[in-house]
Amino acid sequence: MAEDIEKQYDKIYRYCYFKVKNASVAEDLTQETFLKFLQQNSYRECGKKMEYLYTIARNLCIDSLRTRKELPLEEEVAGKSPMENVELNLSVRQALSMLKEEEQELLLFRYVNDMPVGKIAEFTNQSRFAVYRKTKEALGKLKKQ
Amino acid sequence: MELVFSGVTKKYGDKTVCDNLSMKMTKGVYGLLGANGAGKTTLMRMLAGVLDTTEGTIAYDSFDVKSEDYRNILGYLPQSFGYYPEFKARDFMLYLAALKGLEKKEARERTKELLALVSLEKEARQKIRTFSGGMKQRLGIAQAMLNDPKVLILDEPTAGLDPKERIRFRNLISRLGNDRIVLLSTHIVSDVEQIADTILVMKDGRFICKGNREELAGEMTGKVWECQTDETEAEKICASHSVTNIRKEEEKVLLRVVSDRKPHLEAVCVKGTLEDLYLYYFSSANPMDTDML
Amino acid sequence: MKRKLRNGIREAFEPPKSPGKEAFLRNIWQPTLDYRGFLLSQLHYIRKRVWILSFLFVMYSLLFLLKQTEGSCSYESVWIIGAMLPFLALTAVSETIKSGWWGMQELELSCRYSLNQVIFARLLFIGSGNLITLTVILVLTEKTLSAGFFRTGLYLLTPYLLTCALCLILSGRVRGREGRYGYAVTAAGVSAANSLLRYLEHSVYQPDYLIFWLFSVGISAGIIVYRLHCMKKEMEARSWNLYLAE
Repeated sequence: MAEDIEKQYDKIYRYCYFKVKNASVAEDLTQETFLKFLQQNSYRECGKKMEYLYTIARNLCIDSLRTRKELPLEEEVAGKSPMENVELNLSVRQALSMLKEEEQELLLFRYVNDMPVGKIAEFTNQSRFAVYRKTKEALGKLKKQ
Repeated sequence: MELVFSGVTKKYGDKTVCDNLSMKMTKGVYGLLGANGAGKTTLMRMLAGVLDTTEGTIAYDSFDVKSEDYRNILGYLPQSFGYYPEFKARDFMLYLAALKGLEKKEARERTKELLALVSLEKEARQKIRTFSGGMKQRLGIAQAMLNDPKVLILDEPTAGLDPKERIRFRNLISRLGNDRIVLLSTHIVSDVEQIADTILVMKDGRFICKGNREELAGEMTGKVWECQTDETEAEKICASHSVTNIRKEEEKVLLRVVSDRKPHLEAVCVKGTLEDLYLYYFSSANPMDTDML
Repeated sequence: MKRKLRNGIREAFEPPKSPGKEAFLRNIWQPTLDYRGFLLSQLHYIRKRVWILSFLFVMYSLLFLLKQTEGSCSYESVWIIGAMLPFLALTAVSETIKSGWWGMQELELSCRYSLNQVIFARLLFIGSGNLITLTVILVLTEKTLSAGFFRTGLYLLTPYLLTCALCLILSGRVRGREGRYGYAVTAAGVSAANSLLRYLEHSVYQPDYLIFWLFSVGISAGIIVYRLHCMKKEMEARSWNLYLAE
């Protein structure tokens, strides 16, 4: 089933924001990703759309980071959340920031963007086993905090 | 966003209906002006991918004009169209929406929106066979926009519309031209004068001039004259020249004449308009051309 | 994994709102109905008369069967039902090619799912429907005839396929809605010819003449396939010979 394009947008935007840490840059990159995709592919839904989108997004983010080295990192704005979870969420954020970027990315893919493990493996160019292992490690580190 | 055609020719046996037409179109409104039988509809059909070319290529960005990708971003209003006999306005829209690839929910929403846009929301559940010509035409315009097309091709879209409807239509097209390529064909100069950014004048299957309103009017420099004479002189001039306007003022007659040479000793050269250009090229054509004034 | 932790992670990665999102998504919106969905949507637009007629014919065959006394080897059912089938064929063909009759062909040609695919969808549903109808009628009729399915099938298929073939030939030559009287006349003609067979009942329906029926079915089927192929080619080439409206 073709995924809702809004959800696809959200996923790519989340990924770009994670990479560049700046909302308006992330938005530009997200939109550019979609435009590039549409230019190179028929509008029709193909099975690998998300893969292509992520690949395009990754390349755009890398280029962007290279050319915008001096861009100040934004203050991470906490979203609204129920009172009792605020403390937990703050500590999660802190713990996350302690992890390696690779580990953070894995957690993003696996638990927020709902990317299947096989696809994560393909995209990050490692085996499924490695993905499982690293994810577990990352989670372990998080839990300790 | 570019629709490019080059060397486009259409022949039926010995007869050449369209002869080596080329153009590059980007965002904006294009008016295709020409008398009936000039080859406008044939060109429109080829650009809509509905008719094969004899020679030449047509492409939108990387899409070939016969591809599903192209039809996906195309909106087309043919010169004449029918409807299945039992159809009501809403049925017609929903039927075409499915053919244009809209899901049911989207189709219902767009239908409602578009019928309101062309002021047919009250008639949505009325049978099309009860519609007037103008209403049917508005319905045709509505269906052309169902898939939010990037290329909108409208063949004689103002036919059958009353003056008020025509003005509304012009406003609509002006707005639409901001984000897409709109090509409309007509033999009515005023339609195109107000809203087209670029005007293409077509005669006998060829483009005889292309440009915006000012450029085309500029072509008429030195060819448009005004003079004031008595009735007998006026009649002589009318018989031998193309007269675009006649006005009686007391005993004198004011004439506006289109001619390469001065039609009368007292004639004064004036600035030309698109109407003048049209008459200059089409004066020997159908008497119906007087429609355009 | 604990839900709280998962929510925490989710929240941690959540970026600030993207203000340009709505406008952008509106701008790149594309129609999303897939081919399967399109095919299904076309079922609704096939007029009820096709199904009603099929149903009536099946009912009639059933009644005939019930009326018949066991073992009476009359060919009455065959030539009567054979005389009715041309009208089933008529409805099928006219429903399939109605785009040209009602002036919708130019609009349909310009849509994403083009005229070709619309006609295919119609052929699919009407063809399947007719196939089922014919099979049921065949089974019922065979029981009154006891001539075997093959022979009975040929006797029934001939008027049906012949009408289809002739109508399709006609569609290549006659344009516009006025032509539909020609189709009706064709169907009536085949029907009448079939009815006349009652007078030849004792010869034409005998096994010795089987070759005649086989031949008819073969030729008709061939013509149908050929005409459909031509129509498809014309539409693909957009040569406008198919529904020349000018």
